[in-house]
Amino acid sequence: MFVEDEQLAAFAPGLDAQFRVRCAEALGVRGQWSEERVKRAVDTALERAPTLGLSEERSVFAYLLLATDIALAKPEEALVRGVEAILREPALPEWQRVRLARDYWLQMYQPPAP
Amino acid sequence: MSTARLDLMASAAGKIGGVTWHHLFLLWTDAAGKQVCLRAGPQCLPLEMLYGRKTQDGEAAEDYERSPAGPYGLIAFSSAPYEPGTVDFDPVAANVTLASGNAAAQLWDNVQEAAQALQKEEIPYDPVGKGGNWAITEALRRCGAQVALPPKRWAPGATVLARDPLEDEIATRRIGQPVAI
Repeated sequence: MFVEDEQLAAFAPGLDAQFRVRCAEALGVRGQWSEERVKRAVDTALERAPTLGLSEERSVFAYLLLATDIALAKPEEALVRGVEAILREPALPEWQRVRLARDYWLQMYQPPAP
Repeated sequence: MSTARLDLMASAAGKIGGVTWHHLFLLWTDAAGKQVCLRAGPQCLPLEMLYGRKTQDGEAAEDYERSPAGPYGLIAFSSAPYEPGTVDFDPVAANVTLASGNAAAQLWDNVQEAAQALQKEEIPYDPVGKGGNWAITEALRRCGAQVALPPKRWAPGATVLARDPLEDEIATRRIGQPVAI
């Protein structure tokens, strides 16, 4: 069944809050950060996602993880621009864009020598 | 006489968001200099990609037959002489030499066998996942070869992406939009 518009008005915000909590939980296990910092990172990603044309929960979630990896690695600006350009590619569905951006990141990022 | 060698080639194939992506193929050069390439690609193309394309028999779209494996069909390997006019010929393709001499001959034999075995697995072609680049690098991995890509060439699919288990659990629901229950 489909939820009616009136019901949705009350229902979707609840789901979105649940999604935000799941994002925070997933991010929280990736590093020893304060709860406040994790929530701030999630909110930043949730705010940024629509500007990249991402609205599906799985795409936004994958983007959050990718953005965290990139932020922690502090790569060259050109690499970040490449990732964002792939994320913005208008000809592809959002899930494909996120997967390709992640693939690009994993192939092109060279961690600094220890 | 030169030494036989096996190269992994990366040929610029297009752009995604302005970023150049590359198609990978293997190039075998025997001691006499004769060259053969091994490629992987889709068994077929989606109908919308065939409009306007010509084959020797006319319009490509007229012969279209949907594959039960999906819009691109299965992963298909093919091997052909590497010479001007062939599909993969690219004189400016980047390369990385995987092996030379006897080791190259052995690897070339093994990778052709691995390609045949992979094809028999009937894997649906996924252009942004298990596609041509994945298939070529997977064939190499199955031979125990260290797969190093030519520097600074992005070859989508060549990396094995470890999925975050949570990604599979998370719905495709759009944030703040209607929900089907």
